[in-house]
Amino acid sequence: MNSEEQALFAREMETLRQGYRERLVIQLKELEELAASLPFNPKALVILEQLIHGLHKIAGGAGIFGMPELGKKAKILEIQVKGIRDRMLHSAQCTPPAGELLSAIRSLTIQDIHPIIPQEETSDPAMNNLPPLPASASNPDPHVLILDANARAAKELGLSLRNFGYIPRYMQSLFPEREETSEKEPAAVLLAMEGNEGRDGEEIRSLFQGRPPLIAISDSSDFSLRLAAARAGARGFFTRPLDVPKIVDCLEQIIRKEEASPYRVLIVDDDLLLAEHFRLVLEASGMEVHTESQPEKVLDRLSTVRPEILLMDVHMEGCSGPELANIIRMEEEWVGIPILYLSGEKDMNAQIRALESGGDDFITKPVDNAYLAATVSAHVSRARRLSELMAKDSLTGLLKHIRIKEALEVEMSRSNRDGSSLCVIMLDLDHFKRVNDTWGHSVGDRVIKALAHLLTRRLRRSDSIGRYGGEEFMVVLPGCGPEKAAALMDEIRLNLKSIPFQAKGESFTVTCSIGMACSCLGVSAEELLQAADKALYQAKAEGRDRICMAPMPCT
Amino acid sequence: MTVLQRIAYVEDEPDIQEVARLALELVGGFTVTLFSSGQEALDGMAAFRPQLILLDVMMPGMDGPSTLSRLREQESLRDVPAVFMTAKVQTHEVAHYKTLGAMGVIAKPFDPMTLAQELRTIWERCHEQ
Repeated sequence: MNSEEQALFAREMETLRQGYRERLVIQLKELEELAASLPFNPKALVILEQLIHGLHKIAGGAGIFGMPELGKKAKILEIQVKGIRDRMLHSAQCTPPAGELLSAIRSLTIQDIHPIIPQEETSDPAMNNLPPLPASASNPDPHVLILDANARAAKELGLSLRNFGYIPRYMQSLFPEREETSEKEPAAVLLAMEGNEGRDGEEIRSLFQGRPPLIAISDSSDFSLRLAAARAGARGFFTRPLDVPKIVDCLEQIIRKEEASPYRVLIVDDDLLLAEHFRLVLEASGMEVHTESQPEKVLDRLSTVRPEILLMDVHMEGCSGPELANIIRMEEEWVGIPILYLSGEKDMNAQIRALESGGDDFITKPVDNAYLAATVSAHVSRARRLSELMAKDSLTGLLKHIRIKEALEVEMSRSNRDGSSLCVIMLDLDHFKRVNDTWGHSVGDRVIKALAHLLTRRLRRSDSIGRYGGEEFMVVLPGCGPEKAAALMDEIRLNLKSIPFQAKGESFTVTCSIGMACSCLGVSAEELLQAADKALYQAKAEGRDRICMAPMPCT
Repeated sequence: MTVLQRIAYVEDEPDIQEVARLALELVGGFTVTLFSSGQEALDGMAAFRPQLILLDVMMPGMDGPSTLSRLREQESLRDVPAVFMTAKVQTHEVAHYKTLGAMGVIAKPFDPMTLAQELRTIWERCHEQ
């Protein structure tokens, strides 16, 4: 184009934009009227279909005419309304959230004509009167048994552990009445060594039937006590005054290992009997095993089962193992999944060819059961370790910045599909620089770790927790409404400030500020995150050590 | 390789029609004939002898994919390369449209400044094969 044509293009474009904007005003009005008629219309599905169509048009059109933001918002809403429609198709009882939909459509504005006026944010007064604490939204809390002749010291330790989400139980003597031990097996035993001087390690060990992990506590760091503790198989030795966050760190390492979820395996084999046999073998080693006999269904199964390893037959009807491996490797998401071939193939060259096309290992039939279980287990454990290294923050074991944001995207699309609510939380330690400056960075790291453990303990396994920045954490709570999330997070806030940290012979506590935002129609993951961040700033500005909730854009 | 000149464009929305025409004629220098519905395209496209067919996917009545398959029934349009335009472009959807005989998929919103170039790239790619 020469400059004349360019000028012509610009002029024409501007005319078109003007025309589009004018028609857009009418279109938006129509969408609004449609949404408003929803509660009174028996044919809600028809209305939703019209809304989807209208939103789709704006999603495609607005960006072309210089309003990419509006286009994006329309697209998000289109996806969400589709989710509502699909849910209504599946269940006759499902009623569309008419009010929320209406305000989401009203929030679609033509930027250039009606610039968005930044709204004055006020804190939600409801937040000051928090509802009663939920029973427990978390995993079954682990029990720890504190065995100490000094009941007061034991209670004190127990109280601190409770802040981290542990349930303490107490015993004063190593020779309890039978009924006391018949309770739930503790996840760990904290044993005060006083009074056990001279007792043989093996003797202590034999007192615990289920051999729970042992942590020794003592007034002195006397060598003979340490030796007895070591012989009893203690995994940690702590001297008083106790540094509770350090003990928790130790407990977490022990418990997390035992709580690790079973390895998820998908077996693809058109020989059903054989697949069933492999399934039984691997399940006997504690793995979660799924089988699939049709290669064409494997991609679907991958996304539902989300296996950590694939075992597949080399020779299958219609599609060979290596061919299937190629198909799977084309999907970015599954580039890294270990693939093991199971085959009667003894020909080394054929094996090499199979490995070249995307496989990781080759197990020849007949397969030795123990060998199969060990190989699968080795591959998954290595893959887990690798993905953990890539995805997780080394200090806290939480998700890294980029991963937690990905987790939010994943949860958002799930919530769009099933219509469940979702909360995003930004949490930041107050005056953390002061902690670092006063007590040193290693103490600062301990505080960060303690908060990480606290979050891991108090939240559900389905929640995603990430270290967003230095002392900033991000949490995604799927399927959780604002009241429940606020109660839960406030509990965590209170827990944190009652944890005493020890440094340089002194004790100190820390507080945190929390910002929350809850999903609603028309809001993207990014906007939700921004809203939570803003709420965090507000919590800081209002004096820290508190929760602030972002105003709901749809209410 | 023949130079791309004649494009048939099927799109129901007047606003998008106009901006695409501007982008293809003024920026791209192509000759464009517009059809506002699948039916219009079936009736009149053959006479225009297009070198490339551009279709919106979501249209009321006959949508883009069904329009294309009906167009393919006409002898003179059987082998004309087709390109879909759609607001939802996910990898598996692109793959799906390609199985319907499309040479490419253009995402909406498109950039009016680069639309012509995008089509040219698709055109060149499909002639290399």
